[in-house]
Parts: sequence; C-alpha cells; structure tokens
Amino acid sequence: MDILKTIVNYILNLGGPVFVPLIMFIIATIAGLKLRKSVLAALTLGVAFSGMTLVVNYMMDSISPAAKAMSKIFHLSLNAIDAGWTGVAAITWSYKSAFLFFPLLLAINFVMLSFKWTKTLNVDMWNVWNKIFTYVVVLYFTHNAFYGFLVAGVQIVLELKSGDMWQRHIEDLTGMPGVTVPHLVTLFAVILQPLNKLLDFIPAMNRPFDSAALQKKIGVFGDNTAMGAIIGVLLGFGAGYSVSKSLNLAIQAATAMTLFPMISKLFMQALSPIADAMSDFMKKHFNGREVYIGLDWPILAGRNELWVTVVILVPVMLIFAMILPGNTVLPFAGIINLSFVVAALLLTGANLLRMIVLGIITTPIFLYSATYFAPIITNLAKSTGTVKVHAGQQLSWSTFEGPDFRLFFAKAFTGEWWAIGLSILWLLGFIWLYIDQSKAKLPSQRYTLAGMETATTANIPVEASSTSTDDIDLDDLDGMNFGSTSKKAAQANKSTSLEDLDGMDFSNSAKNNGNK
Amino acid sequence: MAKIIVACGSGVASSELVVKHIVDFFDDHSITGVEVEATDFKKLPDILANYDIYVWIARPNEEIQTIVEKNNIASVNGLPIFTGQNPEISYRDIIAALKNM
Repeated sequence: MDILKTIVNYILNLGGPVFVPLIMFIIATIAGLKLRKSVLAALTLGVAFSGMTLVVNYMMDSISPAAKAMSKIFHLSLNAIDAGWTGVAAITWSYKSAFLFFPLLLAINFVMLSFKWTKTLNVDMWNVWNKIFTYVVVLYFTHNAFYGFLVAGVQIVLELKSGDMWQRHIEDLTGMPGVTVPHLVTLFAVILQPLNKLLDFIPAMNRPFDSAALQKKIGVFGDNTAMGAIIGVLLGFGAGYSVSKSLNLAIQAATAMTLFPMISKLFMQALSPIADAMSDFMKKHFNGREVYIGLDWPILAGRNELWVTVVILVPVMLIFAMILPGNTVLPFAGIINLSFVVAALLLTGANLLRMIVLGIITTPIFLYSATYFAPIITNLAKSTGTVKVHAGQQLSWSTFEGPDFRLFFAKAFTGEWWAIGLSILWLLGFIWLYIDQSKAKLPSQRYTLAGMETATTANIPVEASSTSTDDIDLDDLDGMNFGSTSKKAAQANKSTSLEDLDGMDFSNSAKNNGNK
Repeated sequence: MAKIIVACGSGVASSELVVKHIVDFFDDHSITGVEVEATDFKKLPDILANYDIYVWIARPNEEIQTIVEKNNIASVNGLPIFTGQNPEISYRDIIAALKNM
C-alpha cells in the first residue's frame, strides 16, 4: 500500500504541466488514438502550459510595475493583473481533477436526454473548463469536494436548460437551425432580465438600430494587438513614464495580448482528441432523436451588435477601474467583455442600444467580482504552479464569467444565509427568464418602427453552393497536392499585361466561381 | 499553396477545433499543399483577402460577404464540421473549391 501511495503522490506532485499531459496521453490511448497522435497531443498540452506560463509572467513583469506606479500617483490600489479568460482557462486545465469533469458532463447530459428533460446535446467539450473552475471556486470557499461537484452539476443542468430556452432565438438571430449555446455566460441574463424589463419603458429602446456602419468605424480598435498597444501606452503615461518608456510598454502589452490567443490555440489542439471521442459517444447514442446541438458561443459572433458593444465597453471598463472605490483590478487581457455580451445579445434580441446601456450598468459587477475573486485565481495559479505571482501582486480576470451564479452558490454551501437567500432568488429569476424567453417574440420581430416590419436577421442564404459537389468521392482523395495551386483571380491579375489589351472581348466571360 | 481560413470569437477554441478537423481530414487522405488557419472575427476583414477558402461557423455578415465576392474566395459552411453532423458536406465543398482553383 505504502508503495502505491508513494507512486500516486509522486505522480501528483509532478506538477500540472507534467501530470495533466500524462493523463491526457492515457485517455487518448484508451480512446484508441494512434500512438503518434496521442504523444503529440500530450506534448502539445505540456507546451501549452509552459507557453501560457511564459506569457502570463511576461505580462505581469511588464505591466505590474506600471500599474504600481500609476496606483501611487492616483492613489489607487490596482495590484491585480488581468489574465483574461485565456489565462484563467490555462491555469484551470492544469488543475489535478480537471479530467473528471468530462464524464460528469456526459453523465448528466445523458440522463437528462434519456428522460427527455432537455433537448440539448452539449458537444462543446472545450467549455468543460468553466465547470472545473466553478468546482475550484466552491472548493476554495467550502473545502468540500462534494459541494464542488454538486454546484458544477447544477451549472451543467442550468446550461442545458438555457440551451433549450435560447434555441429558437439563436435560430432567428443566425438563421442556423438545430443549434444552441448552452454556455455559462448566457446565464448572466438572469441578472440582466429585470434591467432589460425596465428599459421597455423607454421608447428609444424599442426601435431597431443598424450597427453594421458603426462596426466598420471601430473595427481596428477591437484588434487584440492594437488594443494591447493602446492600453499599454495609456498605462505608461498614467504611470508617469517617459515617452520612450511608454512606447516600449505599449509594444510589450501588445505582445502579451497577441500571444495569449496563440498559446490558447495549443490547448484546443491538444484537447480535441478527448473532445472528439466524447462528442462522438454522445452523438452515437442519440442519433435520430430531435436534439439541439449545443455549441460554443462564437456561432453568434456573426452579429455586428456583439462586437460594437464589447469595443464600446472597453473604455467604459477602464474608466470604471479607475474610479470605482475599492477596485483592485487593472483590466487588460480580459477587457473584451465576452462574459456579458453573449447574454445581452440573446436577451435583448440583438438590440444594440439596450446592450450598450446594460453593459455600462453591469460593468461594476464584473470589476468588483474580479476584485473579490482575485485571491482565488491567485491561489489557483500558485497551487498549480503554472504562474509565479510575487508578494503584493494578484492575478485576476476583469470580466469574470458567471460572477453572480458562482458567488451565490459557492457561498450558499458555506451556510451563509444571505447567500442561500440570493441563490433561491437567482433560481426563481432563472425560472422567470425561462418562461419569459419561451414566450418572447423572436428577435427579428421584436423591435419595429411604427407599423413597419424590419428584418434583423442576416439575409444571406445558407445553401450557398449552387454547384453540386455530390460527385466528389471522399474516399478517393489520397495524395492530392495543392502546393502549387493559387487562386485564379490572383493568377489572372499577374499575367495581365496592360500593353496588350487591344481587341479584347469580354462578352463571353463570366466569373469562374463567383456564384459560390 | 492553397490557403483556408476559419474564424471564431477569439480565434482560439471553436475555429481551432474546426481547423484541427480539416487538417486531420487532409492528413487522412494524404492531401498536401493546403494551409489551414484560425483567426478571430475582429481580424477577419483585414486578412480574409489573402485566403482562397473561407470556412464559416457564424454566418458571414455583409462586410465579409463583400470581401468574399470581390476576392473570389470560396465560402464554405463549416457548421457540419463544427457540430459533427454530416461533416462530409463541408469536406465535399472544400474539395470542390480546391479543385476549382
């Protein structure tokens, strides 16, 4: 027994970046992956952990001193650096019991589908991480693993129910049938719902609003690199740095912002074999049933309103971070508030004005949550050994996902009465939201100009390809090489000489694949 | 070299998943010479013109549609790959677009 204990302890103490890839390798092998692929997947996961450690440390080293200097000048206490969802997800994946949440999600979804308690089949295995994170939060407060699993389980059930609830709205907003978004971020609608109801009384909020033109104007500021540079240079000036030092900080901040998603991609690459095996298993068992496929929120990202809102909220968040008393978080890598905007888009039926107003009102909630949860994220980072946080520094996430749900339910299990009360109130709020959204008019019919129907759904047909591709045999493709192929349009451009145009006849030309 | 781009919210999770599937598909069929990349929607309008095929998981808006048409880019519905329901539909479209180049 002792030997076994020693071995288990030895493996657990290898640290996240070694231990988790090891588990990954074992699972991938069990799932029947080829040796080459499972070795690569495991190694990629390890690389992703170290890569993220590099970037977070780099970010902390360049931003922290400036944040400190600025805090001194303006008498603020911005000591928590924002690692964004990519940073927090990375740290969370390195948590020891992370992989237990795949089977938990599968089991709950399986049972609920079997008893027809939901129509949503969640195949979004990437966002298993936000269940793990909930577990970590609950564990921190209650020191009880069972409560952690319980709250994570409640979250999975609520996500599936919200998947059922949003499906018809998502079909209307995107034109894509049979898909939905059972994601924790959409549950923030429970908090937004009463506020949104109040906005009904303001006439300007009941008109449609065209956001396409706005998006073109603000597009460049939404770019990660540009945004990093802007925040960096502002921070430099705020810290009283010289121009050259501020410009250097701008480049460093832009570097961190650009590298975050690059590293995060590695997680996805590494985890996809597991995710595939899990979702294949689920699909095999519910083949033929009418189910809504639950996907990650980016299927909604084609809506301009979403991007316009988050970019407008960036300066709002920075200003609030400066003026809110007691706030310790300097918004950085998580400044694009995806934790708010998806719920707002769905709840308001993509009404830009409402989304912006709701966003401004709720920004303090996110900053205070980030302040409140900073010790937990810092603790998680330290205990998994992924990021080194210096004394007096904290790590946080300025747009903390599901702050309401996580706080109330975690605290409720410590037996605090206010939290139990708020949790019950929250659940009632969810039921109200569920009933209300099941009756609510579809987004494209909700806001009308006096007597005029406006279509807000995109009007690009789904059946885009008019050429038949049925004759392509997918089993007979081996060895195709497109290495020397390039677009016809591009070739045509190069070979066109302006000296040899006389007598050209375009009457018979048509665009080659223009009707795709 | 043929170039395919997939886009999603942060260019991290969903698009990367679809990229991985497409790359695996090419691998399994020993198809070479195709580069598949992921990006985020905010960047997409700036870089889309450099690619030959756009595999989408969120319906292209007007701006994207205009770029696609202007630059003769084949636009392929990637949802079947993303949802895992009949991914062959998307793969067929991609191969057709590649052959068409």
